[in-house]
Amino acid sequence: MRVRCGPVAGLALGLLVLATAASASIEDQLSVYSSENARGYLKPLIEAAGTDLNLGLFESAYIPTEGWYARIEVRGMGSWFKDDDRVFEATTEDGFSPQTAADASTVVGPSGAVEVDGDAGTKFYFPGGFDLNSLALATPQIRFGSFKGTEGLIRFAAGVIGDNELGDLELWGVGVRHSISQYLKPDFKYNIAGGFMYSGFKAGKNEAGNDMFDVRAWTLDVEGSRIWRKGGAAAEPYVGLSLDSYSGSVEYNSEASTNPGEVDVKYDATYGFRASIGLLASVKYVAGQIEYNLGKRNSIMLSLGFGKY
Amino acid sequence: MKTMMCTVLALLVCVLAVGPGCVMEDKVVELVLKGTTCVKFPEYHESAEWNTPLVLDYADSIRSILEDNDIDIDKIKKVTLASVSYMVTQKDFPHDWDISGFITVKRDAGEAKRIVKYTDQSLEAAYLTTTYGELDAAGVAIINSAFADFLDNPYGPIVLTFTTENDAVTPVPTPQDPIDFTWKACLRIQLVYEEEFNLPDPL
Repeated sequence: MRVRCGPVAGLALGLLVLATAASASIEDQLSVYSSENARGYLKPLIEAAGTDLNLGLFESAYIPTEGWYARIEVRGMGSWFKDDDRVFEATTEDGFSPQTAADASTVVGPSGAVEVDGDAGTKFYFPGGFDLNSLALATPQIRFGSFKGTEGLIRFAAGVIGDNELGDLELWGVGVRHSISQYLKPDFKYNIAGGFMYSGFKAGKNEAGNDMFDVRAWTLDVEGSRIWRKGGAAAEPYVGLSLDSYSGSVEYNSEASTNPGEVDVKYDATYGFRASIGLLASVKYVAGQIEYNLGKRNSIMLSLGFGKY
Repeated sequence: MKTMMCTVLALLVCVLAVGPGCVMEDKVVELVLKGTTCVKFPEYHESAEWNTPLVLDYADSIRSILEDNDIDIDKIKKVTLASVSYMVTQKDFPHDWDISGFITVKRDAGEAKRIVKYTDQSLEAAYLTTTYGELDAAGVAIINSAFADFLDNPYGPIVLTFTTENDAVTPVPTPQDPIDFTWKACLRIQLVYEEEFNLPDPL
């Protein structure tokens, strides 16, 4: 069943990784896993969050060499899960005999529990996933400049999820972009800029009071665009190429008999290139932007901006 | 061009506000809860053969597991036995002992069946160490049958009697050198339950 909700809820939902109730259950399901199974179970979520965090730096590649401006942007960033995100090779735990590897659902995989038959009529179950196709994040951000063709960017969003076990959410980031085209001939019709952004996302508190989910991401990119203006309106298609990286960690309290206690699962940094194509459209002080990204994980970015364009 | 840009912007506002960020889907997910129920056997014997019975209302244990995890009993779809372990929790002896035998289980006044076998088990090695036992299908069947009845009537009792039936001890205990220890057998179960979520899945 699909339920349509209103605009306010729509913006609020953009901040969430998963709905609050699901998040508590994610923690519950994690607690029954030792670290290796937990790593596979959560991997798509960490990767998608890292992908989303690296979106949102591109805007107009035109950065004036002087004159102050500031823009407020609300960015929605979403990425699709792939087929191979849906299952992982899990291993039975808790003394189940024989120890068996099976394709179990990841946190975004099929919703049915996976059954494994064991010795003497015993059975082991791996939990189902939440059957998701995508993960979206949203954040407000401020873009300001310019100092010698350089602009800065700050993003921050935080939310409190009531009495839910996931606790608080926090998304933040800082970025900088610099005009490259200012060094080219004045009659060069295209704008080129390079940029860097570092972002982080935290969610939840574990029983020890530490952040449960922590994802960090950075992107280094170059962008080219061209502006067409008429009256107070402008359209600016752009393309970009980025080197992205993200890493993460999950800390939780494991109740698995093989490895009980606090477990810290680390996701090492991964790197990949991303190609982007987008359109920035503005009328006076309002701008909309849409961007599609091809990379290790395909993604989309939508934005509304307010300020001088 | 201004009109076109205004149209594009208006569309973007709509998309951002009620489009991708706002498609909620109801999902029914099968989640797994693990639970452990342990029975403690205090053992003091002056010979190598003994029987120590313990009675347990297993339904009560399952209900406690559900209550501790705040899960509604009506959501439970499956209950299964995953493994059985034992551990020596208390010892009072000057030297190690190796014991061999079985733990049996019976339901109400039914026939006792072996569920776990232990062979030449060093008590020192099992002291505060989780040791997984070799399972017997006959005893596991009694447990699984009890679980099936629990699903049919989750509020009724399931009375199980677990008995240690020891066959051999090395060295053999005597009145001068009695074997004195406490151990516990733990049944690790899994409960599959359904939970409904309303989740954002925007793309």
